[in-house]
Parts: sequence; C-alpha cells; structure tokens
Amino acid sequence: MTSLRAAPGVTIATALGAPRSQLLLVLGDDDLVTGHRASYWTGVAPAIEMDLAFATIAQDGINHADLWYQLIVGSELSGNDPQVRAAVDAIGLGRDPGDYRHAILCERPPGDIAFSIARHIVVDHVLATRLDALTGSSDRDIAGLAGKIAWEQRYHLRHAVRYLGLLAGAEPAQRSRFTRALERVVAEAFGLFESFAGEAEVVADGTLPVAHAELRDAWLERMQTVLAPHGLDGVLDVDEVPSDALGGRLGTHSRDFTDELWPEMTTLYRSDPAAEW
Amino acid sequence: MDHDGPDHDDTGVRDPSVRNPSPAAVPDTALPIETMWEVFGRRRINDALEHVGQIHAGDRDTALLLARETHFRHEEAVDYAVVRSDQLHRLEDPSLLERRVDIDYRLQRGYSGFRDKRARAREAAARRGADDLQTRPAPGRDVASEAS
Repeated sequence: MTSLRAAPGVTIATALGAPRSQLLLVLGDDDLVTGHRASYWTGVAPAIEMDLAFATIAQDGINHADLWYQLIVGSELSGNDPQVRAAVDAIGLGRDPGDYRHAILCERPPGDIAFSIARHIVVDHVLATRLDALTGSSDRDIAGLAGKIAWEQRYHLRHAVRYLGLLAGAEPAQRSRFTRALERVVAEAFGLFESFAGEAEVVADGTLPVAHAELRDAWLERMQTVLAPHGLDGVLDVDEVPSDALGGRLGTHSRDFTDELWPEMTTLYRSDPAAEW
Repeated sequence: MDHDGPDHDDTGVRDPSVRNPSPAAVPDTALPIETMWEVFGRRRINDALEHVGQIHAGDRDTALLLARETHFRHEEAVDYAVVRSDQLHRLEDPSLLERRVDIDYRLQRGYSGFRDKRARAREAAARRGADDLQTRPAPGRDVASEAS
C-alpha cells in the first residue's frame, strides 16, 4: 500500500491503490514529471521567446497534474483550500519513487534541445490522444477536466508541430540529429502505453473509455499524419522497444528518476511538508 | 476537436472577422531566426490594436505562436497580430517632426492658465466700464435681426 508523507494533521481520505486513483496518478504523474523535465530549459533555452513558451508549457503540465490529483482528493472544497492544497502536495510530492506511475520516457533528462523538442512532440500527442478518449469517460469529473485540459493542450500541440517543422526543415546535420532524437523518443514512448494496476477495472466501467494498448494505435495514426509531411514517419517503425523504457506504470523507474529528478523535485517538501510556496 | 495543424486560425480568437484570412504561406526557414516582428494586441474585442512589443522569429507562424507566451501570458489580450518590422513604412526623414517656430497654438500647453487669463480680461473690461464679455451673442442667434 502506498504510503504518503504529509503535513501533520493532513489525512488523504481516498485510497491511492483504488483503480480510479491509479488512473489519476498515471495522468497526473505523466504531466508532473514531463513538466519538471521541460522546466529545465527555463533561462537557458536557445532564444528568450522559446524560453518563455517552453517554460509556460512546463508550468501548464505541472498545473494539469495538480488538477488530476485534486480529483483523487475528491473534495467539495475549492482547489485553493488549504486542506486540498496540503492533500494535493502530499500526493504530488509525498510519495516514494516506486509509487509514481509515469512512463520512463517522461523522466529522462532534458538532453539537448533536439531531444527535448522530440519528447515534447511525442508526449503531447500521447496526452492529446488520451484526453480525447477521456472526454467520453463515465466519470463526469474526469470527462469534464479532460475537456478543459484538452482545450489548453491545443497550444502545446501547435507549439510542438511548429518546432517539428523548424527542426525537420533545418540543415541536414541538424535534421539528422533531430531525427535520431525522435527515433529514441518514439521507441521509449511505447512505455506510455503499458497498462497500470487496475486498468482493466477502469476500462470495464468506462472511467477510461479506451485502454492504453488501444490508445497506442490511435496515437500512431496521429503521429503518422503529423510526421509524414516532413518525411519523418519512418521513425514510427520501431523494431524493438528498449526494455529499460518499460515498467514506469507499475512503479519501476530509472535512476534518472530515483537518483536525480525525484530527490530534486521533492527536496523542499521532504524537508518541510507544511512549507508554503 | 482539432488538435493539430500548423495553421493559426483556431486560437480562441472570439471575433472571426479579425482573424488572419490567409493560411501559412511563408516557408519554415525563409528568414533568419533573429528576424524582428512587431506585436500588437487588443485588450477587448472592440479596442484598436496597440503596439505591445517585439519578438524574434524566423517565420510568421512561429512569431504568432511565440508572441502568445512572450506578450500575452497574463490575459492581456483577446486578440493579437504580428507584422515583420521591416515591413513597416517608416518616416524617411524624421527631421519633418522637428519645429523651428512656436506652435503653442497647436498644443495643450498653449492653452494653460486660461481661467486666469479670462478673469483678468473681465477685470480689465469692468475697469473700462464695458460688459462686452457678458453680452457676446450665443452661438446660433441671428445677430442681424436682433440689431434691427
């Protein structure tokens, strides 16, 4: 059973092990961890305009994670209520590394800008594909939130597709560097479509209308449409998914997360769970 | 809901008439990435576009895309536009803006202290025994017929 560090007096009513909670952790953790990794470019992106755009996209991801976690808390109180804030912080930052459910691709270090943009393109299309499915969720809260986030996601996709065009149209050395990054990211992206514990239950009751395995096909079609005009759809022919990119949905993470990202992103929270920021 | 496509006619702009009517025609890498664009925003839908700043981008769509986060991250606008800085028609000879003679009559400062001036004029008129300042005809009155 998942244990949480929380500020004194804070209790999380919902069991994190319940299938619906596991789904919400998958959704929130993908956003949270991808957002953290994207935020590494803040202040050091190749141009100030890109810096601002990429940093706010990262911020959006962390905000979306917050919103998914609020559905686990399930409180009637506002998202700004101190009790809700404390519970959301506990979910987002109070878990041990093995209790995070994001895919391993999300936790990879930012690498160069080619890798970060490639991940941005690929992951945001995964998220958009999944959000489309979730708007039909039998859970009204999840369906409603998916619709709102999908609306925000439009800008992220536009940004991703524009930089796809820019990097695909760059001079040959840059294009091939980007292509190699895209190849690696697409192969590791298959880790996003593994099922999590409890997925069968939430698919059966319609909370997750489309299982991750089927979402993968919808995502591949979408990527085909996006990449083909740039002659890059070849990267979708993945012979073998690297085994070290799998397992995130069940809590197996790479040292990129356990030894690097997790300690960093939880530093403040672990030192004082009641800290306000 | 349409999630992709590099066109920019679906960005939540509320008034369709102010959208850019033509799709992307500028090639992806047509310009150096340090190309400067002027950015204009509209606070409310009926406001005029106002200049808010500049942005670097190598093409129009990227300029439009990045301007959102550079200049409109805090709900400053309901609509915005960009134009390449080198496509503005600049005044070739800025000396045309310089003045060598007094043009106070065109400027607000030329009319400052008017109340005091008027009061002094009234006092002077009263000293002369005239009340012509009070008897000036109101606009629209037929002065000729009154005089007869």
